[in-house]
Amino acid sequence: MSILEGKRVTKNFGGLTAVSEVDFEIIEGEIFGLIGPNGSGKTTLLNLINGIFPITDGEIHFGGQRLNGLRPHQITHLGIGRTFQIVRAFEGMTVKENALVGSLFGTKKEKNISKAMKEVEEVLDFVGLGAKRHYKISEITIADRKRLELARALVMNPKLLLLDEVMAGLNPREIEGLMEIILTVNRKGITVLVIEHVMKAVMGISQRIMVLHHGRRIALGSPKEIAENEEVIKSYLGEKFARRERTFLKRG
Amino acid sequence: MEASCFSEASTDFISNHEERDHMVGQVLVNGFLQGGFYACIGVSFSIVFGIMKVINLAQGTQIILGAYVTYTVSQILRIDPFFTLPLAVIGLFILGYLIQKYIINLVAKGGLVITSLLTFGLNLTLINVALLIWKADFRGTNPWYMGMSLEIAGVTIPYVRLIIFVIALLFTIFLELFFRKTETGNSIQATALNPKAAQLMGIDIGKTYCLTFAISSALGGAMGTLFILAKPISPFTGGDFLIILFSVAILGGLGSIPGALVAGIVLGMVESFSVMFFGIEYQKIALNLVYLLILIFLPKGLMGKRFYG
Amino acid sequence: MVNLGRKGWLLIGGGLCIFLFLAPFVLRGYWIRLLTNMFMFAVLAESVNIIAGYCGYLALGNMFFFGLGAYTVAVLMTKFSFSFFSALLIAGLGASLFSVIVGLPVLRLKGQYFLMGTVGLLELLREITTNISLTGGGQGITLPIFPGGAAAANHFFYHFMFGLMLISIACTFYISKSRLGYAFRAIKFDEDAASVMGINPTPYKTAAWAISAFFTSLAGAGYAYWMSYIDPGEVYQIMPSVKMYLMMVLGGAGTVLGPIAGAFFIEFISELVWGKFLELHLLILGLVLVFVVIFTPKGFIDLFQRGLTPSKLLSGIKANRI
Repeated sequence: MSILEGKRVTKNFGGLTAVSEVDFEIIEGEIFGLIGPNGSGKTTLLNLINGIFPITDGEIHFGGQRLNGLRPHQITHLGIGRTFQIVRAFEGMTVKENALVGSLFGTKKEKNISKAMKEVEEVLDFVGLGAKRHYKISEITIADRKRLELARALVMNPKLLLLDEVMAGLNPREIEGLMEIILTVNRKGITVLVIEHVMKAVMGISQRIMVLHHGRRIALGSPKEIAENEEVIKSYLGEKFARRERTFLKRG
Repeated sequence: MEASCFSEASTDFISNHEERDHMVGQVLVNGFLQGGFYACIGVSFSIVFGIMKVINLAQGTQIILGAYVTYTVSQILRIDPFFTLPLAVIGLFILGYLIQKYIINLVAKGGLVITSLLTFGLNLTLINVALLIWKADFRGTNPWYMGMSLEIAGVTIPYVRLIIFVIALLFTIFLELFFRKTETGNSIQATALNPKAAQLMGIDIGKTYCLTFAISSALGGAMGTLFILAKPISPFTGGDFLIILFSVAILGGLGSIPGALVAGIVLGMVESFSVMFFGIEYQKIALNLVYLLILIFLPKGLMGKRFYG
Repeated sequence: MVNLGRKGWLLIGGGLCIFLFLAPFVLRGYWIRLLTNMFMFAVLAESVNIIAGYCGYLALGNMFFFGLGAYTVAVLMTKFSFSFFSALLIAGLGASLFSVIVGLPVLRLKGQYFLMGTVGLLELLREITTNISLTGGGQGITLPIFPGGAAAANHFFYHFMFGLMLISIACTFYISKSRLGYAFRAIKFDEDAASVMGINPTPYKTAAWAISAFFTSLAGAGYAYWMSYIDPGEVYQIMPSVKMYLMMVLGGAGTVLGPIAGAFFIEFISELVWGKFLELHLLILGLVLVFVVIFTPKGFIDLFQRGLTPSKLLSGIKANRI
């Protein structure tokens, strides 16, 4: 059953077309990867789903509900959570307070602060930030900020989680850790859309992957299909990677 | 202009079409001339706002300081006040550079409240200095050509206003050329668009800001000189400019000089016409309303484009 | 920072309140008026703190609510024979309503545009008030004198402003601990991110401004009755508006007691300077502004917490300088 559907989604910024006639469908419960070169429109597409930018043409439906024209907070309340590529934490607040905002105003709209605080503690422990919950944002590392972004999104109990390059700038160990977390989240029933440049990660956890190039969809399929797709290789992956990935996938 | 577009109340004492047309012409010309002045002072405010994101609440008083320089020098040296213009420009340039270097640069990254409070504090300081030196009485100049005017097609053009307009226009054009054609000007624009990138390219942001503020100050000083040719001033006159500075800067698009030019003239026209339709008492209300309407409906200016930031 | 524990500070606070409550019975008129003025500015600073310090919307022209409150009471009491308390209520609610209506277009403006918009509103309201006969135009309005003589008046307005200050502190305290406060702060730090976290900014911003408007206009209302005479140039002035900001910044924006402390400090200096150095009044205020903004941008409270040493003062500059 599909949870998110996009039909001919298009976004123009003045003369620039960032996203052009993209069709996609995300099945409930899957991990869906979104890859493509820089500037191919991935983050823009996320912003369209999220309601940050208005859609120029086409439609997006979430669980049957039309998202066109809804504002970000309304879309969040429908059950979509997201992280930002450049972490947008609330600089003046502590880690815990940041996550608290998500709990108080997200899908659950928790009214009781002490109750919200307990839930937040659980989620923070889950992503590995439990010990740092009283730290100010300026005092934590990039990897921790990424985890905070994730925690904030999770605390809102989303049905669909949009992750925008959460792995960027992390070392291999941190990447493995994050992959585990995403898989665990998915096992709990949350559908995940992952934008990534770290190929090993996105290929490793996604059931299906969509590739964007210059705002258009050029491929959609299983990781294996994508790795073998001529056009994708030409425009993004490069021959050497494709060879490496085919061996990796055959083994794994 | 068609006679029919006037409201009956304000023109029913005019008995024939010719006189009405002359009145309209006069209003147009007044607005246009005044607009040139507004454009130029607007530019001085706009470049600081557009390039450094600082709202310089002391700009009005800096303009007045230029006027005071003119007043004092022309009195002491017994020369026509117009010829003190270079002195006002140089004096205010230096003042502006020092203010930016030793004061504003200390908080330039602090955000809106901090910089606004700072410039307001500066404003108070400068006003008080002017009060101490020149006292609260109004001071004016009386150039020999005051009261004399040109008559063209039934429209009166006072020499003073004409001079103000021409000089203001020249300065504006000169500044625009400076920003577009010179290397320094280009580096200032680059800094405005992306301070971090500019820094990486080797541009000294601190110095750039000092230069920008100095130019703004110097321009203000020049306009002060022109202003006092026409009207008397007191240390508090600067405050009257505030709404106009805001209006021109926003309507013209922050940091855009051609935009400010158009905006200034539009504003001059609005003021002129509102005096004619509503009488002089409502002039300020009209200007304020127009300002708020601009903010709400045209925050990106007439061109609809943001030139900086 | 001296560690007294919560109970310790509460005791001190309580003691101070009792002392201040009883003060007018032992102090002379001059001091009573001085304190009344300080309380009034404390209310103003705290009000600005709610919209600017907590919510991040820098309403530099917030003073216009003061003028609105003053004139509402003045007009209702003189032209329509309202009693002070009913006029007061209308002033407060009216100002909040005005902020909601005006906020519709104006709160959509970002950062500097909002700031400049509020300044424009201040100017506009002053000009309108100067030009219509209902408000007495430029001549101002004279209100009925408080019955009972000067001493009774002093006491009344002292307690009025004192009470208003306490209520505004309580309100801010509640905000700081409540869900509302989290929404305000999220909006301040990143309105778009707050939106994505499920906060609809519009009702929250509007609420913040309405609360701010309420207290500011009540202060203005009290001021009008206290002074018995107001004119547009006085109650729609930019100077006190900036002073409120200075007090808030000096004391610490976004804290509960910061603006109060800032208000007392600045008003005290202001009074000293006005008394002894009248011609330098603007200069000193201006220099204080400049110094505060350069050396203590985060306010007193932050400075105390970090330790008041010269090196800490200088390091405060490093953050903001080019």
